[in-house]
Amino acid sequence: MKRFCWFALSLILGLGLGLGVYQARASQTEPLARQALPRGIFPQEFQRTEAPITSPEDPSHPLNNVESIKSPDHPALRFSEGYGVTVFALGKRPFSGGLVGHFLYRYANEDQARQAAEALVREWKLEPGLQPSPNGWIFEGFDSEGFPLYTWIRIRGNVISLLIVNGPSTKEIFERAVQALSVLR
Amino acid sequence: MCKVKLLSIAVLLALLVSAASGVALAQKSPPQPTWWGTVTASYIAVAFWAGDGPHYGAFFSGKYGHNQHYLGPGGDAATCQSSAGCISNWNWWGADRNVLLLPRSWLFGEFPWFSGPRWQPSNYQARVWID
Repeated sequence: MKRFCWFALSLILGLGLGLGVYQARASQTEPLARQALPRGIFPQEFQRTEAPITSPEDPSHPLNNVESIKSPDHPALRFSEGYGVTVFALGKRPFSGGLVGHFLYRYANEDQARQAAEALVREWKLEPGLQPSPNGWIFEGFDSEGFPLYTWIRIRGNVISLLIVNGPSTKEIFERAVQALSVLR
Repeated sequence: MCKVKLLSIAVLLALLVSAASGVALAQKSPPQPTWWGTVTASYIAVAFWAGDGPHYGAFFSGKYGHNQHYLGPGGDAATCQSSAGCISNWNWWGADRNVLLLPRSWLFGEFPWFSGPRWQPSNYQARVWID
């Protein structure tokens, strides 16, 4: 009986370890579009756009050197590819809605992704409202006009996942997006 | 000597023919519009992302936007409640200055968001250079 228990325990541990390694390897090469915010998670969606990110010179995504990151050699700008989704969304609760942006950036390796994420936190001065989350941080703050601004920075292998929600009443929208992204493999 | 003369005439004729055909082609192609026109915006979206989040804008086709107006309920006067003041003070953005930046306090100041009159591109009018 004891021997069987040891065998079962080893099997579970081995399978768990194998699955972890497999997931880590898969995220190194998995197409970014498959890791992006899925459709249909908000009660109402408007103007969803979805496109690859090709350059840090394009200001239509957050890691750009035009309006967002002024230092040209910033580690966050060294991504090899990216993918972005933006959607205006309304929640179920009354007066709940905001803009949701989900952006994925691939770096050469996990170390570079982590360095980029940490440098980004410093660049955007997010430290005061920062809370740790699995493999990253959540920032709850306000934009320059006083509207809520939620940011979830997560490191998944060599990929940075950046979720930003902005608008008049964004808590439900942010929670729905976090939930949907958390269950993605 | 005669050969040289003949060759010169042939070259001259060829040049005349090509010039004439060029003129004919130019006359056939439609004229390209280049003027100042009054148009409404094409769409509303995120103009750019900065460290403090997204900045929203009304996108116009054309260049060098100016003399902007709000055609929705209340007209220009309704915009004066925004954090950036009245619409005449709102900034233009982009290399072509064809994106009119919309203050968040204006866009989110009235329900329904994303489908109400403040979110309709046809409610934003401006003069732009069309070429």
